[in-house]
Amino acid sequence: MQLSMTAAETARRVSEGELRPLETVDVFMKTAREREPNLHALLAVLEERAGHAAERLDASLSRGEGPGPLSGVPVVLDDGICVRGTPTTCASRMLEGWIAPYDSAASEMLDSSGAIICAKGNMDEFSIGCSTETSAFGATANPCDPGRVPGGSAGGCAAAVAAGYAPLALACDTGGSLLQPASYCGVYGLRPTYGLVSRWGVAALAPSMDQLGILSRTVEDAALALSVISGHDPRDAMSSPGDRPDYMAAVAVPDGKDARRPLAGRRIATVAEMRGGSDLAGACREALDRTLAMLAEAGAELVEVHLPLSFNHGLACYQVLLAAEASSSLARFDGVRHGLSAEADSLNSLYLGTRGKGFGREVKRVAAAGTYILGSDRYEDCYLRASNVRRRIVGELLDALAGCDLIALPTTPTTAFRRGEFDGDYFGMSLSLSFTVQASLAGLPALSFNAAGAGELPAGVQLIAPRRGEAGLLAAAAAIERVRASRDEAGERRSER
Amino acid sequence: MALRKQGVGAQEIALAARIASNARIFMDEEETIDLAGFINEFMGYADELAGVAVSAGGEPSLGSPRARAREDAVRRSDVRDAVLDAAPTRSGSFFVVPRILDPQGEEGSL
Repeated sequence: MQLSMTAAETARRVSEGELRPLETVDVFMKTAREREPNLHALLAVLEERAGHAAERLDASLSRGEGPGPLSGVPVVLDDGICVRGTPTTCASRMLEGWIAPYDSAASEMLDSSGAIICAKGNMDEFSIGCSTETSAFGATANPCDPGRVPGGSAGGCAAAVAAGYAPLALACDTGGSLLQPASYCGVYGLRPTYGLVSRWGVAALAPSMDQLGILSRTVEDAALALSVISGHDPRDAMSSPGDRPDYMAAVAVPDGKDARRPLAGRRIATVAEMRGGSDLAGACREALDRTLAMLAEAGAELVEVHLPLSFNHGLACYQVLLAAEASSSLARFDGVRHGLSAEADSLNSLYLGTRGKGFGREVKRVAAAGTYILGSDRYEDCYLRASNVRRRIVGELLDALAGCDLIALPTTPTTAFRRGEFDGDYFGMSLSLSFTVQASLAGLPALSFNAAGAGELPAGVQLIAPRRGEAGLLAAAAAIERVRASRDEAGERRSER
Repeated sequence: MALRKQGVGAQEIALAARIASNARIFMDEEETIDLAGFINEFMGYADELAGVAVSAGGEPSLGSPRARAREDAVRRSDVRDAVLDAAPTRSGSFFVVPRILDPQGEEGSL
């Protein structure tokens, strides 16, 4: 078995009896043991649970029971996703030693699809941060360059997928927490439409934006995982009902007249406000240009949209709403219900002591700022105003998407930054989310893929679709993957001659 | 981690101390000064939005137009015991909190 085996290939081989589930778990464990001392992508390795799951799957396959779509596929979950009976810390001292008493919807669905949950990924503490450096249990290195960050908050999951531990990981995206690490580590990152995937059992940061998403090494694997985890769940109040298209059909190789130009008739827009921007690194601009050329080659018509509000004020709007919602979400950590509890002789000193000791610096600052703007002094001119600006941003994005099928833009303004580069500079580091907060504010689906030149640091490009437009995103990314593959083949033929 | 130069005054530090107390987070002096600088930068972002024209009185966007509100009714939990077991301290079917009224009082003074 090779490290580079995709989820689809693993599931096929396990289903056909060519590969035993225990073998896939062994490969995961071996890779993790080799790479972890240098990467620190994981907070917990669930070796025993994974072994039992593999044995159960083996037994059910030998009884002739039908295989699931992810049979034997090792998966990493970020440490904000509960798996019953295992530690879930959100990378915080506050939850050190806490054992999740229930399963998340995602872990239930993975279990019943035959996937094997092997580990919990490192992250920024309670998802607050963009580098995985705020983890209370130590930072994660970027597998492409250990001197650089993997991004965050889902840096551990992105690093684990990029380093070949597992073909798939699930993590929560709030303002780019999954897309930005995907860009920095050179893997696919899919943030689904708000409400498409249940967040039951996932620690909340900013519930009006939080969405569970997928990290993978191929677009087909992203489609496969989305087919498994999407769907209505009444336990998540924001989960929305509705039919789901066939995501696997969206990434299938087209035949007949569509084969060469599968995106014919699709209008894909660039953002006017971004093309002139001086904050965009050359490598990221080139990644976008390269992608646009491939989209055109696949038959897409390139157009331009104007999104002045979203790009000039999106980040400020996000910062205000994030802090407000985070302060509310983090209020549940009170020393009474879960995790750390300080010695105290009154309720107030219990709160103060527990939260003072359990939260790291960044979490304290953001929770405090959120508390301030939710207070009567600042509520109207901060929180309510940001909520209203958000309505306008949502309107602007939906209007733009009424005139095109997808929007294409760099996922991040730069490639991965160096470890320690932003030492405590929360706002400076947050600029790395400048192009991902827009989809979050509007609840739109976005898909990031690596479009860096050969031998360069990863540089992601993302496509944004209308709500429930995942099939269109996957189809476009699959078309790009095929254009790139055919170019690589042509290049190899040339070099052979 | 070294504190960056914050350039904050006594009034801002007093405000930061009040905010930390309202957020129920213990902060020492160094953390309070750091928070004062953070709040200043944060309010810069918030103030940036003051220049954006918005219609007053709008409802915050929920982001999921098709979401349905669930029924407002008592629901039985099948993980009640497990949740209580995972708490720092439990007493029967309750979480345990320090005495709220009359902390110095005698047994049964509630």
